[in-house]
Amino acid sequence: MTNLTVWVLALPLLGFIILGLAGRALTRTGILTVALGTSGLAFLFAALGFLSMLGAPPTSPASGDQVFYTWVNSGIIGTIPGVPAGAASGGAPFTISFGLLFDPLSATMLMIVTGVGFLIHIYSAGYMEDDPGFWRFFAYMNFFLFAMALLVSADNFLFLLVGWALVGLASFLLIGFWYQRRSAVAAAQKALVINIIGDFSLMIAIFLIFKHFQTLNYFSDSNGNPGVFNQLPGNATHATLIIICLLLFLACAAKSAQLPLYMWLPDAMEGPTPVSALIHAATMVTAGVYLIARANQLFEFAPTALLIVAIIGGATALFAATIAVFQLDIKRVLAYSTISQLGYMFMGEGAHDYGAGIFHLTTHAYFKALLFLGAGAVIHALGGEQDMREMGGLRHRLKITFWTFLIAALAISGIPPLSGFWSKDEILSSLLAQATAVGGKTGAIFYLLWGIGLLTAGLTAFYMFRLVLGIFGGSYRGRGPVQHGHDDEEGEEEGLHGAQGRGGIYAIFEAPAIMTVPLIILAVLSAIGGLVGSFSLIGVTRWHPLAKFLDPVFSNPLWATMPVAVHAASLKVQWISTGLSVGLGLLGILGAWAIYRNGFQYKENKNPLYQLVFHKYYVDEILIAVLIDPLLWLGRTASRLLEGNVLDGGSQGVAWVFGRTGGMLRRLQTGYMRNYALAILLGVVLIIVYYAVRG
Amino acid sequence: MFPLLSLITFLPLIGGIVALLLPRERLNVIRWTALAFAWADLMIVLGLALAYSQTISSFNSTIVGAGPTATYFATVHEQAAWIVTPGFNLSYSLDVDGISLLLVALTSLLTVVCIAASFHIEQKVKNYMAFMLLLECGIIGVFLSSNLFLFYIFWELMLIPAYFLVGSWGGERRIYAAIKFVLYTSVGSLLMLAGIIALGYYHQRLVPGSGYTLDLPTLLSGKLDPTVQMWLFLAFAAAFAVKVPLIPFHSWLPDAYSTAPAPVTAMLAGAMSKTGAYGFLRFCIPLFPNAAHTLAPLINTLAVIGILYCAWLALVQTDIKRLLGYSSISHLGIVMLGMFAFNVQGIEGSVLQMVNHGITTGALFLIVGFIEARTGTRRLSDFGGLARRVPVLATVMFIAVLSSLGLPGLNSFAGEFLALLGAFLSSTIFGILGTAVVVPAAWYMIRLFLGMMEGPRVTEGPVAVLERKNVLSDMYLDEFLTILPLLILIFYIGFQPYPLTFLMEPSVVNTLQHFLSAIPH
Amino acid sequence: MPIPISWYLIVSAFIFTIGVTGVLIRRNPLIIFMSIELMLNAVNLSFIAFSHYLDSVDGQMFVFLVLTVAAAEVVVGLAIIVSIFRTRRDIDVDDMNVLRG
Repeated sequence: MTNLTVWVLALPLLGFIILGLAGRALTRTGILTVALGTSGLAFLFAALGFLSMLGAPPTSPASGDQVFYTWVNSGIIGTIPGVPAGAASGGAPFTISFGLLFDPLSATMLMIVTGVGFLIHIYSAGYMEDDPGFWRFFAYMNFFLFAMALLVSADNFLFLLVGWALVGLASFLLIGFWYQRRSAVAAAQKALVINIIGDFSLMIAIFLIFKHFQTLNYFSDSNGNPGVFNQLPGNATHATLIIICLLLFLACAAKSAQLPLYMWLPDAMEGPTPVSALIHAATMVTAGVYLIARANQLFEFAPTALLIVAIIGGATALFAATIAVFQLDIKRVLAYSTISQLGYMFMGEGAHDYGAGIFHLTTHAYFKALLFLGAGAVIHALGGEQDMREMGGLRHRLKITFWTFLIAALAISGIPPLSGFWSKDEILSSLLAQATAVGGKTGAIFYLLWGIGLLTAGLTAFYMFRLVLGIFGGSYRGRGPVQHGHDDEEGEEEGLHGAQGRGGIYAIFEAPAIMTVPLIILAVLSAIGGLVGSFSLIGVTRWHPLAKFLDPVFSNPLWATMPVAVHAASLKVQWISTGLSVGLGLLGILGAWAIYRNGFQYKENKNPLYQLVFHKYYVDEILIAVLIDPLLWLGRTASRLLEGNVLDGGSQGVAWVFGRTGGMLRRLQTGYMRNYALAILLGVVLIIVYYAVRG
Repeated sequence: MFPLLSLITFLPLIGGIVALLLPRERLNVIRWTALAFAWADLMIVLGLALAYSQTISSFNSTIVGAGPTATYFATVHEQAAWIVTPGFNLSYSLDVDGISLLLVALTSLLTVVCIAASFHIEQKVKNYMAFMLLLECGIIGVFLSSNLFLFYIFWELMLIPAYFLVGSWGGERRIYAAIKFVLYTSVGSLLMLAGIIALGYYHQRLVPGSGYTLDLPTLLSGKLDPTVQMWLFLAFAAAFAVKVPLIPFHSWLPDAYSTAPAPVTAMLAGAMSKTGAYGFLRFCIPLFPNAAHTLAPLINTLAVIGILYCAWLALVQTDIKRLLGYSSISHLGIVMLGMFAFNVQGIEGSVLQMVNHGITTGALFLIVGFIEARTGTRRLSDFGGLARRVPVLATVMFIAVLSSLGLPGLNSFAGEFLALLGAFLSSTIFGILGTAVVVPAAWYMIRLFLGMMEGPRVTEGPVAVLERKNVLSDMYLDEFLTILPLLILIFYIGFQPYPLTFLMEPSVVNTLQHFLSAIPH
Repeated sequence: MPIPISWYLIVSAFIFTIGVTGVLIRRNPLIIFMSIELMLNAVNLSFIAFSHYLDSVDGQMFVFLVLTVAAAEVVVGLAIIVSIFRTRRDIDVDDMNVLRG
């Protein structure tokens, strides 16, 4: 086993630096060489590392750890005379090294990040061809890969935080890529601020971890100092562990767009479509799922927190799915679908089945990247049109896009034997297994979550096929692709809306091969990607490569002492769950077929419930009215009254008092020397008299 | 022995005098002379830092248990009898340790950068350059003096050039801002002067038969009565709290920072504001440990209120420099919060944050100065979509903005993280409240950047006029070179803050040890 | 028989009073100057007397200091008077009230 992670990090970073410094001067070919070369090589290194790990599995959790340099060292070892132990340094020196961990989990994540990321890079070469910010785009994309690779391969919580924040920055840059659009800038700002809320939560969690474990390393370092996971539960109380886990989960909720911090993700559609694919599939939103999997041992000691993870995941899954049903913008449908699917992953992890969460993350990366890239191909063909009302009948013009999109839609709907089926099924059966095994109130909650999972599966199938039929089914409703000139950096902001002439459906053409080839590759992966999952359902009990590969991460010698053990689902339970989910999926598809068979029809609906869901439950509006506006208004008032009138006015008041007093006293200054001298004389006489009288 | 510290302190003063002697109309000669002196000073300081880093590895093992002055770099200690009568001794003494070394290095670096950024100033160049160098002399003197009398002289010396720099070269309302600044600072300083005199007196009474002295090492050896400590602490804190500033003593800052020319603001915010925090760390905490311990909740409360309240105010400012001014108060609150956590992480983070804040804020004010020089306006609403015209400037500004909002991987993060970790370890609630600032900090900084550089371009106002005429130029090479050292440090310290903590660690540990062994447990 | 110290002090007080009166009532700055000198020398006289009486040289030391300062003061004062005369052609102190508040 060889730890090649440093190359996986260094190459995209190198690409970012080259493009960032010299990108403007490079030719289009040069830019592509750098961007695709570095990300491709990064994938190659990730794959080599992965293969070497397959050949020689790690012997201990930290055996693949590689430490590079000391980042910071603060605090002293030992005690100071006259000072209680630990009073000076919070119990232990704060020593942080930059190290890269290479274990099955990070190897898997690196494969997904660089693999899907590389495909999206290739696709972008076609999609962004006409954009004047070509070099900037690829610089940011490379930076995104670097940040995400850092996040998943850091060997301590501090560099996890670094990667965490850099990923947030990368998404900010890419969402606000078309920086002259007001909406893009607003979306980028929103994404950054909400992500920072997550960073804040992660920081507090890290403080708590350091306070109770005196280290931030995941595992023991080469000097034998134990890591966080080696000393669980340490001196932390159960309540503290729950708080740590909940804080970690709040960070995950911000990054992975779970309730209550999901608002930024739909707006993130303002970025170019490949960016959405990257954010939704390979990087960024998967970070939260990764973090819970990474900290699984911590969560195992805080089952209450894990239950909350599952509940929030379930609530988000259903909530986002209902919104997705009524969206008109094709990218927004996919965005809410991502939120919903992420909720699924958290449900799986909440049911102690981290492997299932990572498995669904993997398959989701394939089909969601495919869906977004497919949507991108449609938008590209229509010259920037994203509204479903202006589409329809495109299956004749965009054949490859249609077929690949259909595969992805079937996969996300959980239709066997496509990838989504296997992973979704594993989550659902784990939920049901938990419900049956735990019993009591907790069991009831898991039954409820399982029900939500099934319902969401049906809804997912419905809105996905509403989308498929809306784009490709029926007949064409638009007026042809939007024609627009090359909007260069000097050009107008809203270049994409400068419509000129439209040529109807015959002006719509399939994307070039550089865009369709990634679609095909992803379609193949979406179709067969689930085969790495467990086959116990169909009687092959020994085939579960992914679970076996990840096993060292998720099994822990401490498990014997743990309050809750993981319950493997029995075959019967699996079949019940599978049968229901496939049935509901098919029902959803049939429902969509029944309604939208002849193409998508948009009807204004005045039903308040419909309006509520259609307007995404008015969450943004409420937030602005209740939180943001009062905050800004109060700030302005404080700035005017407190800063201006009270503090500034106070100091001016003091100055005024002195000024007036001086104004009165100035009358004494006649300017005649003899008056002053007389005053002095009088003073002297007075003093002498005083002393003479006093004796 | 060669008076190296005196050289570091007074070389800028000599430079200022030389600049004054040059012919008035040879502007470039004056500018380059001033820059050369600033550079020379920086080089000497870096040499000293190198020598210091060589030394501490050898005394690292022996320092624990010694007093705070044990980490003075003894071979460059300078002491000369100054005002001596029987029973009365005021010496001229300069010393350096890890903490002051870092701050001196920051000051001399910022002077170089700020003088280089002042080349476009055309009026009274001679006086301007002389005042800048005098300001450097005062600030470095504050960091290096180890006698309270000398310290007070340097403390007041800073004020004179600062007053003239704000009052003569500032923008509108400059006289108002300058006078307000001077009045606020001098009220605090006078209280401190009374405190210094009283401290010497009380210390003399402590040891029967001893003379009156204000030498820091001697003063540190005595334990004053807690009540006396309390009053003296408050007197000292009055001066330092105004300089930092802690709320509610900050009212002078937005006016002074927004009016002063950008390089001067960069000096005031980057270097001079550190003297307040340094004063707390070097004098208040070791001299009055019991009072510091008792009053820590008060200071921490003020710091937390300042952090959050000023971040909130920064969110609604319309003037760019005022926004940065409030952000500066907010960031310095983190310095105070870390310092009054009384643990190694907190204090090291606090010192690190001082250095980082100097670098980042210096860079930000200079960049805003470049933009103001081009457009003549500082109103946020006058800007929009500038990045298209000035991409390099926008990128540089973005880096500084990211550093300021504490992006992990850039310099400020390390200091903020350590300081907040320290605060959290000593008090959960202060730690959480202090850390909460990352959200509004990101918000106002990003709002500033997006409002100026991105979004659709403005259609009216001075910037729109310039845009239409197509006369907005991107960053000039000299501007870029001026700010380049700061950019390099932003990346380097973010990449590895270890060298800085290495330099300051012995000094911090000793200060802390002195403090902790004095307070009851 | 030595002359008692009170005699010296009476003379000194007498001269000092003459000086004060001169400063207060005269208008010519030169005369005012002379009056100031009178006051200073009256003090000098009492210093010397005390010095002799107390058998200490401190008083004489002060006298030298006062003499020096007085000389310096006359130089500065006369320079000011000359420069005022140059600008105003008149040195009547009653006309000089530009410092009026």
